[in-house]
Amino acid sequence: MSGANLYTMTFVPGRNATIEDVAAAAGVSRAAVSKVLRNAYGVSDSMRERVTATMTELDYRPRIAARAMRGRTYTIGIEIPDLGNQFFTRMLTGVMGALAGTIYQVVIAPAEEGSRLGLRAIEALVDRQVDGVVAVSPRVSSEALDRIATQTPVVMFGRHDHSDAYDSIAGDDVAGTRMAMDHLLNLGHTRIAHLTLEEAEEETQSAHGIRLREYRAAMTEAGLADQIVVLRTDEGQDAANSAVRTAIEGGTPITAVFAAHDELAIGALRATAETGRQLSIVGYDDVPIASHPALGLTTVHQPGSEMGLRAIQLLMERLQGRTEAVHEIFTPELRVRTSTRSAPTS
Amino acid sequence: MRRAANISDVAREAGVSRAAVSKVIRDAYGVSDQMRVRVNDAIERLDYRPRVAARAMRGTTSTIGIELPDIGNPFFDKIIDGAAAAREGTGFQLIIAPAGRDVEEGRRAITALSDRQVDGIIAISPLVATEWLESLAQRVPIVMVGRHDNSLAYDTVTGDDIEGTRLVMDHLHRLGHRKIAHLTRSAEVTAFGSGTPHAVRLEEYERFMSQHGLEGVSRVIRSGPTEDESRGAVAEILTGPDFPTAIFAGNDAMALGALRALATNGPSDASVSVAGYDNITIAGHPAVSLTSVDQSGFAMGEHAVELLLSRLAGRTEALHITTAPRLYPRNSTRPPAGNSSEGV
Repeated sequence: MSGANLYTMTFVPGRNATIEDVAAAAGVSRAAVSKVLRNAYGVSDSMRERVTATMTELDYRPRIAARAMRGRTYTIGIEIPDLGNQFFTRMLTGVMGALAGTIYQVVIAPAEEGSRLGLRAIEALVDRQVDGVVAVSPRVSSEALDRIATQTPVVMFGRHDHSDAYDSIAGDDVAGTRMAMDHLLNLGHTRIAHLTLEEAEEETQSAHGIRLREYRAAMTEAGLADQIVVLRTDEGQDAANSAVRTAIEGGTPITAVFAAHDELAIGALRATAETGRQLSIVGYDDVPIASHPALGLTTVHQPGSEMGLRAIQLLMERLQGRTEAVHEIFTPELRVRTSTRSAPTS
Repeated sequence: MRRAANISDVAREAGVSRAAVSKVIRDAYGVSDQMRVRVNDAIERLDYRPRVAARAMRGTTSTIGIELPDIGNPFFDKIIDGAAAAREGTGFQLIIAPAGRDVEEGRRAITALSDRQVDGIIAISPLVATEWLESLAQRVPIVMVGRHDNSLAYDTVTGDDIEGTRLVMDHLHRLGHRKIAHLTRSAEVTAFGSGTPHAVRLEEYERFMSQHGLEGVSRVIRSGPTEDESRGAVAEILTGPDFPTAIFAGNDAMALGALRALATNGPSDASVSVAGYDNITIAGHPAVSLTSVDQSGFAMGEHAVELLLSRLAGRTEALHITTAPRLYPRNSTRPPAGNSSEGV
């Protein structure tokens, strides 16, 4: 193809090849290139070969923006409040597995620092015309998601929503909290504190809100309502460490801590190591490091990877036309390790 | 599913021309205050969002894309935190394209970002060819994080992997260790002269061993990137005779795997020292107490964004920034068994 070679010599590097460049180099009309691109009828095999060979040679890529103008972008957006939380890593592994070998690309938008609201990041994804969104930040209002779902399919991950407009995937936080609390109560603990984030509110459908509510219910049912201690902390191991240390050093007579997630539980373990105070600690999620023998964290396992995979399946069903909302709950399992022991007898 | 409002809908709602709406959006001259209020009201009522795709056609999106291999490595989270902090208040949105572990995956993720018309790309040590990156850098600014590339076409942010490796090796050697093994990634990742962090650390490990007359006891253990793979790799050598007294792992994730193997299959508790690289958060946990090298991942992420912003502001010559490493000795490294004195 001497035409292509001649053209290559005058091709300006640093500029994306356009459809016109391909047409000129292949010596065919722009309409013919377009037909090949659209996989339309009436294109001869030799024409198809000629055009695709030229596209490869010029590294021509139909622009995503141009494709977006016509419909799909084959992009799935994931909004994540805290990339450092290894439970979300598990979820992303499921997402990536579900899309491996497909044309779909995953893009992740981290929520803005500070606000943790996540709405801006979700809107940024929608602006980039993703074909579907998995929203993970627990504090985005369901009204905002309802509105977004009128344009782009949404799956809310981790919160127990009942929207008619979008789907949701969550763990059974009532059952999970009961498993953790029953385990500690069976070990003879009565002074059990709950370590949770500042923003956890009992009246919401967020995972942490439900865990807090069920903690209180379990204590009350065990006749321990007067022993209820809720320790509040910011996100992160260091903050959780100092919240538990402050409680220990302030003389709060606790023997066990049920933490709202593993990151907080690992901070609580640090507090026990640094103060020498024996406390039984239970986490939630079962992040990969929880099973490390150095930590041996007893925790409530959530099937993060399966949940991520299911979130993608739900988006794909939406893209294929499903309009009715689906809300699925996954069952957790207690993993007992070395961080919990019988309550001291005195 | 309701269709998103477009510019024509806004024009109709406001009772003005399409051109007038466009003028208001572009903040152009010659728009009366009254017109602006009217159009903005209509935009709000219809929840109209100027489409990024449409803006991308005109070349004005404000997005930085990060290509991220190996999701779940906490060191990369630090880099992303740094990048996120540096873009606060700049109006730039961050999007991350995760990549699997092989060469094609890195290239695919970077291409995906370029296709989505990001304004700049941060590539975290992928195995993609430098020539390919250089050609892409003619269209979009690129910062390579981690790999030591001397490109004139794009910028780099790296750790001083030579110095970091010497810090660890000196530390182990002074404790009295001679049989020091290096736990690292596959031969593909550590290809000689490739400039990947793992390649540089391996080369420096070998140089150190030969400088100290220890070629005879040097040993390289290969592993995938995950804790589970490195646990398996170390568990396997523990079943053989003559295992090392210390393991220098190419990163903390692999070091954690080594510790896991030692805790379950080890000859006796605490008889093999382990050092890592990256100083991830869990390394400082008293229950783990992993000796490690900090290479300031957060600062690396900040530098990467600053380099992209200065490129976008017009800089054309390539810059190469290196962060200084610092050793954090902890309980995971001790003198070898039967050698309580600090060797010289």
